[in-house]
Amino acid sequence: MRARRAVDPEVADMTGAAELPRRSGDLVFHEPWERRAFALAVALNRDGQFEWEEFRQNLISAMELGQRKTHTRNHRRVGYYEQWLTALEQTLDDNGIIISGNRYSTD
Amino acid sequence: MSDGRHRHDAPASPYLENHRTAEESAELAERTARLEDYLVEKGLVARDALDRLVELYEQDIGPMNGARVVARAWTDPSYKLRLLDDATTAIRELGFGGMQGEHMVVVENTPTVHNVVVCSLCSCYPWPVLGLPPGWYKDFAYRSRLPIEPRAVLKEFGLELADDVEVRVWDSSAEIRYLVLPERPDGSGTMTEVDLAKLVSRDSMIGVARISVETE
Repeated sequence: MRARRAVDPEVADMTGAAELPRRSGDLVFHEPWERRAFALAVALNRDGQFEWEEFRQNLISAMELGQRKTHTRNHRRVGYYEQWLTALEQTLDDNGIIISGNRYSTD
Repeated sequence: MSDGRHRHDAPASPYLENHRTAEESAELAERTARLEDYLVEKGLVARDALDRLVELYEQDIGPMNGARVVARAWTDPSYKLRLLDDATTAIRELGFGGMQGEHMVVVENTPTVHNVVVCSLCSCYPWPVLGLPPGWYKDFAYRSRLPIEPRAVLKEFGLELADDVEVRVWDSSAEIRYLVLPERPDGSGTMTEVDLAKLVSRDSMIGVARISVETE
């Protein structure tokens, strides 16, 4: 039987490059901040701050950038949630919620 | 892969191959915390709701697309042939992607053959079609006992098989993942494909349960 899902399939069922990292179905978070970054994006989207597709496109762009970085500088592979965080900052910037990347501050 | 313990699991997405340094991790944690603080202060997120939200995603069973695959195979004989011949392609045909190099194989239950799936080394499981694995699927007891005494294990699941039914155990790996095509239940002759899909349980597609039409 299929129970009604409590999650947004647009997020949970992404395929291709943006697909959420899973290990046999279970979501994989390597560090606590990755969970927080995941939650922030999902919560803000749920509350209508931006469209998921907007975020997804930014995520894909961030991944492409991350890949180029890896290839050209012999950099370590950039993690999925690093790119996620970059995409979230970009999306919030695009929507005027934060201003220019890292310049937001509560100080 | 630096972590040999998980080589049986195909990475679903780019995992870290070289680990971050502690310093880089601290920076990322700090960057996330700063963003979170800012959003909380602006009243855009509630801190205590964040954990709860992640839990919903962690507990989400998933799309359970396998049920629709089974229902299609029951109602469309040519689809069933394609499915048994090349499951990866036939499943993709229904628009279910995300299989990331995992080769899917569908094995059909008949009155004389019963199939059941395990991953004896870890917990390989076809998430795109079956959703999250049940807890017992990952238990050592199931993984170690099923290949040795499948009939006894199935009996504990409430599935008793006659002596003349052959039991086939399929061991999943990172490369090959199995889906059991259960027998279409008696009394389902007039049901539509959509209603049939609702009958198909996750357990039946792992092979530890049969499907029946509930009669009240």
